[in-house]
Amino acid sequence: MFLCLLLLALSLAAQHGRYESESNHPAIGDPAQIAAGEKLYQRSCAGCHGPDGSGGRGPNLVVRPLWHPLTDEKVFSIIREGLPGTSMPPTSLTDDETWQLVAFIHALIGPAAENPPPGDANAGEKIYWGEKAKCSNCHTISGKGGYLGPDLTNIGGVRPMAVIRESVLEPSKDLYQLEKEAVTVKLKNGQTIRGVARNRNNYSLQVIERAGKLHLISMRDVAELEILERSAMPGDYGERLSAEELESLFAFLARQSLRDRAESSN
Amino acid sequence: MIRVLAWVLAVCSVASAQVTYEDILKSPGKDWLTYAGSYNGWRHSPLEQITPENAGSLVPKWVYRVPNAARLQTSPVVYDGVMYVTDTNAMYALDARSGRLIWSYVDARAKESGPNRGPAILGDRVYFVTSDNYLTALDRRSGGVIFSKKYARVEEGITSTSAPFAFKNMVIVGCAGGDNGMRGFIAALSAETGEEIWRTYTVPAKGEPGSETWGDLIEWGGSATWLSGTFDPELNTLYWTTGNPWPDFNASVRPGDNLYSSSLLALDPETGKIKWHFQFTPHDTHDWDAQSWPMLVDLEWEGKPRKLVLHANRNGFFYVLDRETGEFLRATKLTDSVDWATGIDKTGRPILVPDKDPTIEGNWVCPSVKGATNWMGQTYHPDTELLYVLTLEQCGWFTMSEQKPEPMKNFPGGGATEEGGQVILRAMDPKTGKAAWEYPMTGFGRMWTGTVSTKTGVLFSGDDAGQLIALDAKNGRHLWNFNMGELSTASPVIYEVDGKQHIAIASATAIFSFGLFELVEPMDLPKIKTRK
Repeated sequence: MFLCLLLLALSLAAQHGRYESESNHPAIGDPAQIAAGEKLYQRSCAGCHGPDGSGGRGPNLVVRPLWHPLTDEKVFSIIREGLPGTSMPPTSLTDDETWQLVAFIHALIGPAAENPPPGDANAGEKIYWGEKAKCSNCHTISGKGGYLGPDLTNIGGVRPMAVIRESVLEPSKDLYQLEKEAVTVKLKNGQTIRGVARNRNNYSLQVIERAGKLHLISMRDVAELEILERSAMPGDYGERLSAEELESLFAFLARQSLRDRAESSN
Repeated sequence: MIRVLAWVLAVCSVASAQVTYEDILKSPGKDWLTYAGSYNGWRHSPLEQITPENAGSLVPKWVYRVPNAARLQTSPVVYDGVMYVTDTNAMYALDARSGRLIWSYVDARAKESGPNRGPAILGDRVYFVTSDNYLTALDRRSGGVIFSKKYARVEEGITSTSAPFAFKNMVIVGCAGGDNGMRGFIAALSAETGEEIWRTYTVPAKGEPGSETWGDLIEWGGSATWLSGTFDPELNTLYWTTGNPWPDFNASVRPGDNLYSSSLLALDPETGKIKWHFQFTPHDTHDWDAQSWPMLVDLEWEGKPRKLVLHANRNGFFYVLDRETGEFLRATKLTDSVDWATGIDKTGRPILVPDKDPTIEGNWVCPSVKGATNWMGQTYHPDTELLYVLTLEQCGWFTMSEQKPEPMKNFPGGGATEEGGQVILRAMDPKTGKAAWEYPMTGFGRMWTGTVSTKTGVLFSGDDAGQLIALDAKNGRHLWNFNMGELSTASPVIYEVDGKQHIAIASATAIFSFGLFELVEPMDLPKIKTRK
């Protein structure tokens, strides 16, 4: 699930940051202002945009900015003035309150490592590697695990929490499956290969198996290609894990951040 | 029959093997496993499909546009059908037969954003350095991160640009930042964990031997190590070049030779101990560095076989040294225009022309600050016994500032400009020290591209107008050219995939791969089914 977002969004995110420009306003990055902003958000915004910004009646705030980067100032003016012609109303918040809200949204759509959820990351680590969740069957962290899903070594360093949450709970919500398709490839020589197509067009196919074998295939050699319409990621984590277990897992995933690990070990 | 063969090859092309040190010792074959293809630095392939006779039918096989790239300097590594290329804080794995992306890795939170010259490969891992000095090890199959380990601090003026050097169980890295004031080093890191094994500074500490060749600014002496090195397994010696002393243009504050700046170092790769050094430009006042390829060749010298290192230096001279001892054997003019020294004396020191240092008013000196050559790849062909090097006939103004030097403030102690100039590809004969032939190029002197050759005697080079060209390595005769549409600032490599020889090179923004023309047969698209 993460792969598509990772590949498509990362180049944008990588080059532009979360926004086209980073604001110098003192509220941005200030924990007290962010906490005040969260209160305002939960009272006035969560009803439409979801408690974690992942959307509802209103748009998902976390994913969209990756596609259409906004400046903090632009977010400020949208909150203040609303968006005419949509159900986003103008507000009568003070400047300080509006900046608190902007600071919260800024933190919300930043990497999960910078805005970690409240769960017990150590408990989450056991769940991640354990038999109930079996995350490592398909995902690697620091080289350990299976190869079907995206590497999660740095997932907290690059993905917002709401994206991680959605990817775990609703992996097939994103309909754009190319570059993460689960495929069964029957070659003209009789060989069958099962894995995830890291890339595919009409002429070539690049498939990785669960154990990490990479197959670089010309479509000339393919007799039949079967593609799973949904994500290969199981869609039952909402039932498989309790709410507390999920929060712990999210906290563990948020902690997977290369840069933060390196800085803390120096 | 060909189709059946293609099937077999496709089915067999499963990336499961591991790259060993022994594989790198044998490289290049079908794969291209290091920056220069081989430890000796030759940038020469044993493949034989492309010949002077058929090079005229080369065609582009694929192009991969590297996302957001503007000035690629990467030299690809190719292994088992996969090509690895780097850009600023990023690596991409491409299907080497189709150019399709397999995975990408972008370190979006890196604190610097300089150029990157390429990856290294060892075991099941590919390595590259981020601009802010993290050695990053990725699973070559998936791009998954194994580790990303910091080996130097941006806060101390250090950044990283060069391709790491894989050796046994270690990955050796250099550093950049020498125009800023910093202390250069070469470091060996564990290939397994990134932990430091040894670190050798290229500027001595106060009180150490060599420190008497500096003034008070020794702690910021520069001597960066921003190009990868070469290696002789029999002598167990690593050869690595160093950059300019700092401040670049105001040399009055650093009296002496400034060891080990603008030098070639011979090191023990197991310990980092310096076995010998040779300084090409003592007390360098023109930011010439010594970053150019130390080429390891065995040739007859005065009637006896001798292990040599050839070095076409940025200061405008072409050196031959004994690579066992560092003994200076000969230096001749690499470019015609060189005017700061009349020659190199018997001890290897330049015979200086007076008044060629930078001045407050400015001084016109040849070569320019870009040097008579630079870090671009060079080629040695063992059959022609010639060293192919892109040279630049260019002079420039050098000015000096008397301002008090301030480290890490982008302060080089003056400035330099260059004007006009011509790129000439020269085939240097190490036996005579002179060019066997020359291939002048038309352009603005702005290319930073290099060369590669293949067994049959075809030499490939970027040119000064965005072309990849093929020449006859024996005489420099034009065989083929292709317009990539933009200047190249990288060097080509050669590999084989599906039994077919390819040449690949980065243009400013894309990777191009070329092969011999083949008629494409129509194909039926496979049956595609979907499953709920």
